[in-house]
Parts: sequence; C-alpha cells; structure tokens
Amino acid sequence: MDPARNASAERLSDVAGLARPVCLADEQSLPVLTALEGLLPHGGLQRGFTVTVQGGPGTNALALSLMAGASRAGSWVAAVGMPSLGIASAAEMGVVLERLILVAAPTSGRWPKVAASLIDSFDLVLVNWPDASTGMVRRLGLRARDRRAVLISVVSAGRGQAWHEAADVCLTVTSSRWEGLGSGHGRLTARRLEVEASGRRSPMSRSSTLWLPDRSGRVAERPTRTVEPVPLRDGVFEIG
Amino acid sequence: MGCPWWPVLAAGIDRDQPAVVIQSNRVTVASPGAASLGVAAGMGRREAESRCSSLTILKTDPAREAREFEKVLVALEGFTPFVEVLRPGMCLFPTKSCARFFGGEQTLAELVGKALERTAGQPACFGIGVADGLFAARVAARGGPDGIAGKPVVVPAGESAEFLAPLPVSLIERPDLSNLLVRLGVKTLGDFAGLPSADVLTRFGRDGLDAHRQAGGVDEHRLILREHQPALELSEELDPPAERCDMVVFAGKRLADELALHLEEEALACSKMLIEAVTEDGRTMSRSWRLDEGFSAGTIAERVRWQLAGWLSGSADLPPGSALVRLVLLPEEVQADRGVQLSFWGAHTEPGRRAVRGLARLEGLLEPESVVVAEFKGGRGPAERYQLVPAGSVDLLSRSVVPQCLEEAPWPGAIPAPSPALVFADRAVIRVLDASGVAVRVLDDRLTLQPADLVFDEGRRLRVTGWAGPWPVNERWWDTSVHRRLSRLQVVCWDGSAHLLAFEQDRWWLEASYD
Repeated sequence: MDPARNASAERLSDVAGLARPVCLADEQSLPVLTALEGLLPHGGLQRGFTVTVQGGPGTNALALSLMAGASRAGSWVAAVGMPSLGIASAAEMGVVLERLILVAAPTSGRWPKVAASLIDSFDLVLVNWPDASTGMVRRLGLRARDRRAVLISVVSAGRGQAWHEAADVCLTVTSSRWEGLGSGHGRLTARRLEVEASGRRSPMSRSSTLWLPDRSGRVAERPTRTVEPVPLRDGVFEIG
Repeated sequence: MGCPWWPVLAAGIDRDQPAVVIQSNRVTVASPGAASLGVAAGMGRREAESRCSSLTILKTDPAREAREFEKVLVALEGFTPFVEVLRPGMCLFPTKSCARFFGGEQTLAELVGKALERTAGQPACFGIGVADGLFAARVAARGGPDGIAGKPVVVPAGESAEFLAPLPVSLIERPDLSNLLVRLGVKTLGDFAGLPSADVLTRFGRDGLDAHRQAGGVDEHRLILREHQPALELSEELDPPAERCDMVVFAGKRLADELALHLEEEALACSKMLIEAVTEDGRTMSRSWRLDEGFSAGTIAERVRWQLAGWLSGSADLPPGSALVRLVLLPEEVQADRGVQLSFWGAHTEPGRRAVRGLARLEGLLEPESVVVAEFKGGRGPAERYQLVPAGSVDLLSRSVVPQCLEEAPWPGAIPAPSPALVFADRAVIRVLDASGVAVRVLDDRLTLQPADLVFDEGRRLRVTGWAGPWPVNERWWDTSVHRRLSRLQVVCWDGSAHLLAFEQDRWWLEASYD
C-alpha cells in the first residue's frame, strides 16, 4: 500500500475514534414501562442505580412493574428472597417469565455472596433483605455500579432503613385504592396508586398517580390535570 | 421409524381428527386430519382456526410426549434391545442382526408396523423406513415423496444414494442451506450429492459437508464416530431409593454437569447418550437418546428428566412401587467437538449466557432447590397456575413458559385478572368477623354474615370496606384422595390493601394479597 493511503487511513481511524460516543445511550439505562418514565430521572432505570421501593400495599406490584420494561427488552431478571412473588401477576405486568429466575433467601451468612453473584450476572436484581447493614448495602450498591446492573430493593413499611439511605432513587407508595369491589358484589378490576419519588439522584421530589393495573390490565399513568393560571386583569391571576 | 405428528398422538387424539400443536402462536405440528383441511406447520394460530373451525389446539408438552413414547419403545424392545431415541416420536435401531432372525428386512418392518399399530391403537400412524444411513432411513420413514403410506419403505443395501437422488433438496432439514441451494439451481438431493465435496466444504463449511454426505446416502454417524471410552461413564447411587421423578432430578443434573465438564476437558461432543436406571429389585432399564449437534449440560439434564418421568409414571412395564437405586449416564457416541455456529441474531444472547454462567456459580452456595424458574401448569387458584421447577433441570436458554395461554385458554372458575402480587405457600389462618364480632362462615356457598373485620394471626386487625364472593370451588370430586372443596373471597380493607381469602374445612386462611 502506498504511504499516502496509509497515512489517510490512520487519520481516518483517529477521527472515527474521536467521533465514537464513549457510551451508547441504551447502554446507560434499562427501559421502563411508559407509565413509570415520569417517576425516574432521565425516564429510565440508570444502570448502576440502587432503587428502593417501599411503603404500604402496592409495593410489590410496583417493584414487578419496574422490572417489566427491561425484561421485555431482553434483560434477565433475578428475584432473591421473595418466595411469595405472584408469578401470574408478574406475567400480567409484562415480565417475561422465560428470563425470570427466583432464588430463595439464603442464610444470613451467605446473603452477601449470593447477592453479589447475582449482580454480576443479571441486569436487574430484585432483593428483599430488610436486615442488611448499612455497610453491606453500600458495598452491594458499589458492586451494582461497577457491574452496571440495577439493584431494586423491596422493603416493607418501617424496615430497611439502610436501603432507604443508600437509594439513588427511592419510590414510596403513599396510597393505594382498589376499584370494582362493592359490598358483596363485583371483583377487583383496577387500582390507583400514588407514588412519590425521592432519593440522592432524584433531586426534585416527584409524585405520580398510576393505574397499577388499569381496567384493561395494563400499567398506565393517570393523566394529571395541569392547573393553568388564567389571567383576569393585568397583574392579577386567578387559579382555577 | 418415526411419526411426524407424535405430539398430537401423545395427547390421545386420533390421527384423522383435526388437531394442531401450538407454540408461541404458531402451528408446529398438524395432524393428517388438519393437514387435509389445509392447515400446515408454520401457520399462525388464527389462520389455522379460520381454515378449520373444529380444530383441537394443544400446547407443546415435551414431558408428556416422552412419557407416552415410552410405551412405543417398550413394544419395540420385543424386536431388538438397541433402540435409540432421536426425539419423542422418532427412534431408530440397527436392522442387520434382527432382520436375519425375523426373516428379512421387509418382514421385520411389517412386523414392527403391526406391533406399533397395536400399541398406538390406530392404524398407520408410524412411518417405517429401512435404509443404509440414518438420514436415508429417516426419509424412507416418511414414505419417500408422497408422505406416509400405510406400508414400510425398505431401501435395499447400497441403493440409498439412488433412492435419495430424485428427492427435493429441502429434505436435508437445514432451511437456510436448502433455500440457497434451490436458488443456485441445485434442486434435488442427487444434484447436491453430485457436487465435489471439497467445493461444498469451502463454500458451506463443516455443516454443509455433513449435509452433502447425507444427500449422498453416506452414513454420517459411522464416519465420524469414535469408540466410546468407558472412562466417561458416570453413575450415582440413590439413597434413599427414588420413587418420584423429582427425587432423581438433582442426581441427574449433577451427573449431567459432571459429564459435560469431562467432555469439555477432552474436547469431545457427545451425540448419543445412554440413560440407565437400576431398580430396587435389580432390574436395569436403559434408553438411548440422540442429539446431532451434541449434548450440553442443560440438554442432558432435560433428557434425563423426560426419561425418568417416562419410567416412573407407571405407564411402562415398571411395576408400581419399585424405586430406583442407581442412575447411570453413558455417552455412547463421542466425537471431536467442532463447536456449533450460533446464529448472529439468535436466541442465545449474551445476557442469557451470562445469567446461566452466574447461576452455575451459585450452585456451591445454595441448594439446587432454591434456584427456581416458573413453568405454566394451569389451575383455578393463584398458586396453582404456575409451578416452580429447579433451574438446573431445564434448558434455560431455549425454553418457553407459554404465558399466552393465560388469556387464550379459558379456565372456568379461575380467579379473574389482575392476579395477586403475593401468593402465600403456607396457610396463615385468619379470622373474619362481622360488625358485632361474630365469626363469618360459608354455608351452602353463601356467607352467613356480612364481613366487617379481618383479624390476622399476629393480632393485627383491619376493617373491611368491600368484598365479593364467596366463589365456590369443587375440585376433583371423583377422587376422594385429592378432592378439594373450598370457597374464595376477595376483600378490600380500609388501608387500601386487598386480599384473597379461602374458606376450607371450616376456617379461613390468607391465600394471596393484591399487594
């Protein structure tokens, strides 16, 4: 090859190196269901994040719906320490069961090893380990950041303080209301869930009302009515 | 010999009835009855239904297929002990020695045909073919170009190449390759076999060369075989003796892993595997399985699970109660591992392989039972709909849970969606009280009083704001040992939680929570 072409090829490869993005956008975050985008910073589950889901009734369903988007997009998901997880419910939310592995809660001495090993090999790990110490939670969070996995911790109300402190994003279920059931008639059809997002990486506290599920069985965001100020006269606004 | 619509027959359906087996909304197998109405494999579910309104739709169930096929294999063992299974519905055996005993290949084939008809209980469901190589025999079993005729096809020794030559090249069962060959103008197996093998190797690689040999009627297995090494035989004593399939599955999984490791160390691939079990009374049962692309740990474990389900179901000649005391895995055909070329956009994605490797690391830390995956089972209650099976006993990368039948097949009496996010395995007793504190019961499928309070075992008390039910369930009333009669009740409490309660044997328990 002649030297001129050699040189231009070298320059071209230099330019290509500069133009290539350091990290592709879809490598940075895992997709979530559209209804949940508003709750999360940058509208997705950032890889390396520790997410804590807590609060009253509806916590487990919210955690399942968080996994659904990534699971549909091809990620493998592991749930550890959640022996009562409803498989049918997970499938209805959109979790792909072919890529869902359930691991029974290990003895307390083996928890760190098992959790770390799952973080190494899965995109998304759901844990229910309320007794974890602050140091252990931090170490697992660092490991998740290093391996670019997302760690979702489900804690029931009033427990798992360590997870709450370490969370990059903390989703709290503040209220849950089922519809469709009367006094002796009907059946459960839909649920309205109020969720509040806070945490270190979610500087502004956001809240959202979700249908989890809505009447057709899907997860949907309830359209929030934005309150527009209506000008009446110069300088005076009426809110309504 | 083989039966292309075995999955339909295994479900106990007559060959002339229109029936199909569906996987992921696609027809994978169509019975002759369905085929005569224009339903073909590869067709969408709706399209198949539109051609035939009385179509019976079945789900893929490899375990059932293997279990039912065991009866056929027992019938074949009357002729020869060397039966090996390619997949449920297709098996082969060498005819050389037993044809002499039974008076010629033609007579043998007819005798086998009659024996199979007796076993299956309906005529002409199996195709029988005799030929030199495995591939030629498989094509012969299909009855040549005109599908299965009622009688066996016997190709005389040495004439396999002529038998294959006029047949279409699509029979080599490699759709990508055969499509390409047809476009290149190579339309019959004879045309393909006529190409120089060196050229085929340069253009199509090892796999293409194998197909080329098959098309020429050369027995591909005899060519590349090595004698099996006894050092690879692995066995495990089962103590206590195993009476149920799930008791042996882990032993099988351990052996499969160990064997896969041994093979890997020796850079060998095993394409034929003998599974052997010894019963308490000293009888030995054995069965060969073949997988042309070579067994992996996952596929060995799966075959072991299917085979054990076949032996222990009591449908074969195993008298009930005789448990297994020893399990042996013996690779019968091993060859140098040439690797498998994975497809570029294939299902075996990197996240999947990473997950499987990670689970293998977990094995030392956890009991094998504690890592599980879901498998669809079907049922009315939330806990019965799916069963959890150990992750080690399934092929994780290529399995399907079949969740779409949730919506598609109605299950009368099932609790309607949405399903509860928490389903409890242990029955926590709960008390349901009315406004004045009197216990609520179910009598004649009705509540005796209006529920107003739930009292949990630990003393927590919740006010009920809404309820529906009771929904009575009367399951398996024909069998007193498993008969269940219960009533279910959905309740919503003031804190926004909803629960599913069950009333059985005069008390309530918490079955699931819509958490």
